Amino acid sequence: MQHELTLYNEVKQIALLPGFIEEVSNELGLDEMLVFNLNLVLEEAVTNVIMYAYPKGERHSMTLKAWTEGEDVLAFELKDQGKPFDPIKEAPEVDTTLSAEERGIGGLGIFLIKQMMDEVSYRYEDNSNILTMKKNYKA
Amino acid sequence: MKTIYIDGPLDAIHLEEIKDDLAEVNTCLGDVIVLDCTNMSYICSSGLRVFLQMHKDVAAAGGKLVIKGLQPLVKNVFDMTGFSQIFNYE
Repeated sequence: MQHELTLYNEVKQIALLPGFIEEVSNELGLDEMLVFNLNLVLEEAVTNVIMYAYPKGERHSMTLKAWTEGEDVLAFELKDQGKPFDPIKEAPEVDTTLSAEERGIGGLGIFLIKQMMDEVSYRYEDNSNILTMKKNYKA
Repeated sequence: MKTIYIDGPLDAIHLEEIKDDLAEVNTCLGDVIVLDCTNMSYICSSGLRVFLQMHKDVAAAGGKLVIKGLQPLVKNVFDMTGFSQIFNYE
């Protein structure tokens, strides 16, 4: 299985994600909770690029790919040519035990990606940020 | 008491659309404010951040923010992020 989607760095583009996940889901028979979580994970990853990768007002694209590995792994890759940014390293730590008053408001998106996926990795290659996220979809 | 209803998926697009509705909270911060999420089918991290900021603003003004009717998959996101312990629930 392989699917690919090109998105521009505009917030409106996240409306394309549910359809993309539905295509993947129709093929693999994903359960409702995983579809929900994948929507969230991909929205967070794409929003990150939209908000931070490029100077305001410039139009650029990014590509999102989905494929399967072996019997049970669903993998996604998000690739953009924005400024080098490792979201895993750079995102502020999230401490879920803090009270409302103590909690900062940053880092939640990356935190959710790491919580919901089994494996998240970043590399900078060919002038591109490449974020790879994997999940055992049969677990 | 003031109730604000949030319907549909609260993604970054919808959040932008209901910004003005949510800003109404600023007119009654000292009051009890109910966020009715019965029909909110999804929430992204920006939505969570808006809820957290609202909670802080309301608490600082001596009011109380109450969340009502979280759907199970949304509740899971609240649990995962520790937001379940932060808010008051009806």
